Amino acid sequence: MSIKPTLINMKTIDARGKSCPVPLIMTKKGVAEAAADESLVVLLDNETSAGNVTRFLQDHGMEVHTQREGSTITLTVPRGGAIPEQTDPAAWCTPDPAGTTNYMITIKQNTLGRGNDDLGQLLIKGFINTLPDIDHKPHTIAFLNAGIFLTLHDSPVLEALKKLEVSGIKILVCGTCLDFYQCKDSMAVGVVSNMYDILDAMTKAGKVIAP
Amino acid sequence: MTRCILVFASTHQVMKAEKVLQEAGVRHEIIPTPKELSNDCGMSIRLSGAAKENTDTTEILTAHNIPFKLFERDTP
Repeated sequence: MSIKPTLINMKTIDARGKSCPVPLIMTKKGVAEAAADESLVVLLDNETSAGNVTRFLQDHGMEVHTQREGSTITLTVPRGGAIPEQTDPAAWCTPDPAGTTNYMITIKQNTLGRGNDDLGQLLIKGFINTLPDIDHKPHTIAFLNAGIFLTLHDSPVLEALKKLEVSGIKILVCGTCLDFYQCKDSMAVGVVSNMYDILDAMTKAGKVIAP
Repeated sequence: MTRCILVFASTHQVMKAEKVLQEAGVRHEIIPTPKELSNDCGMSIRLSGAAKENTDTTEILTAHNIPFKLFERDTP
């Protein structure tokens, strides 16, 4: 489908090289600035942004045509529209798929949740034993307080943790806690870490899961 | 690698079975019951090896009156 000939008055937004939410913000600004008879062209260089911007425009009642040429994705909006001033474009960002791997887990007790301890122990075993089988694994798992008992040689989840460690996942074990519970010698997986290492990993992670 | 998944009627039965296996020194893993085996969100016990390699274990559970269903699974 060729739509080029009719585009006499058009406003072009070049959002190539930008990542979300910048292309959305630029698009919102472009829509607001475009004259009534002006069509809008948005240039992008990745599918994630193209998908987000398309949804953003369509959700505000605009028609969007997509063309791909080389690495450039061109979105053409034949007729402009209106996007309310208070709309936050960032809400149309889909999370970066790579972000699903930038996460860590902290285990702060040897049970999962509060309630019956036997049940809690069963649940934490099920949780950790499932980690080697999931697609998006954490990059780090930190064990603190009574969580460190899960890293000792008699741990019921030792096999799963060793498997995770071999696959490159960092296992951080709180040294203060090993010392307090006097079981430094029994640690069977991971590296002894202090609060600097653990806090550093936590602050750099895209998200921290604490079951 | 072939492994056995033992599925039980209730969480209490899983805990009972786990205790029995621990006391008998049987290596086992607690895992969430695979969705294709059961719709309830229960836990199961996984053993390495095929069913025929785990007859001692399954006999222990039967001797303790813990009913279960056994499924064999080939995993990488």
